[in-house]
Amino acid sequence: MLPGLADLAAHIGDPQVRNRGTIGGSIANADPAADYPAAVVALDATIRTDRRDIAGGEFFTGLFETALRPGEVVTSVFFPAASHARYAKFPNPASRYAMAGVFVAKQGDVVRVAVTGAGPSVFRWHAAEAALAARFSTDALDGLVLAADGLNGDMHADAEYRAHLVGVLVRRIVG
Amino acid sequence: MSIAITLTVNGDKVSREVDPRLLLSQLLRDELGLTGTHVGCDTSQCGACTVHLDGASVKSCAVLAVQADGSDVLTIEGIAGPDGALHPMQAAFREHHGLQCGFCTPGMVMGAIELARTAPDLEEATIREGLEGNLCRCTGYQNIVKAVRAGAQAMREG
Repeated sequence: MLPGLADLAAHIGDPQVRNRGTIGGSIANADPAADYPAAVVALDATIRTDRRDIAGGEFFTGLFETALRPGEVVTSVFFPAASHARYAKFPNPASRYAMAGVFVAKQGDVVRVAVTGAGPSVFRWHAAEAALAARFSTDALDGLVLAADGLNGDMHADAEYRAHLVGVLVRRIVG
Repeated sequence: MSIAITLTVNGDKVSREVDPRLLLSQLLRDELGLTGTHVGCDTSQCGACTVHLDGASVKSCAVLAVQADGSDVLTIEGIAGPDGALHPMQAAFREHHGLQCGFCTPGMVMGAIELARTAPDLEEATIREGLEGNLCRCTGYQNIVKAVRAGAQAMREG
């Protein structure tokens, strides 16, 4: 149903990391460069905990911060089907964490573009979503540039580089 | 607070009372003296501490000792034959000089054994992708890849 999600999972970290890691652990930790948060937000997943259901768009609240309360445990994650769902990332060569990762999902008329790795927390690129909702094609993205304001800059890449990477990745996915 | 755990390490049953935050790598090295498992980065990146947990390769610096309770752990010390005969992967690393300083080698060998069992083929690209979780600071990947291919072939033929 969602080969894009399986493909994302197949490229997390490395074999040893994949042998131990879980989707619940990944999203509860909310590392700004983790892969799964992009899928959760782009596909509008539902996170079920031992207490309630949380909408994917409301789950991530900041750097390593989520809507989970102390002691609350993620028990399952539900992903709605999508007609288009694909993830692309530019991994750091050493850690394999995403320096920028983008998940594009199309569900009916709704397009979501979720970006991980580039900011303090996963976020949606609304301008790209609107452009792709109008026409799902790389042409629709012509001239569209993500602002670097507020993006992560560190020893691996500055904010402008990450903003550029996001644009490249979105075009790779749609193209 | 300490927690009682029992696990099998290289075929031997081990019981310990451990601090809940003790890492599997620390249990192996500091408590059991199995220092063949190297700790290179302690951040789950370098792969030098790779061991097998119930048959799957894991980075033992990213596993709590309490998570290994009831499990079967295999380290680099446990793969040679009872007579000391090298495991085919160890023999291949020696034959093809798949190391320079040797620090990453225990993790490389443990990762490569799982790769040999699970990889769909033994093409160079498959082997390099399969070794993504193991870093060699000597940049000796060329011979490591050769060794892994030879070792995997020997395992599959053996």
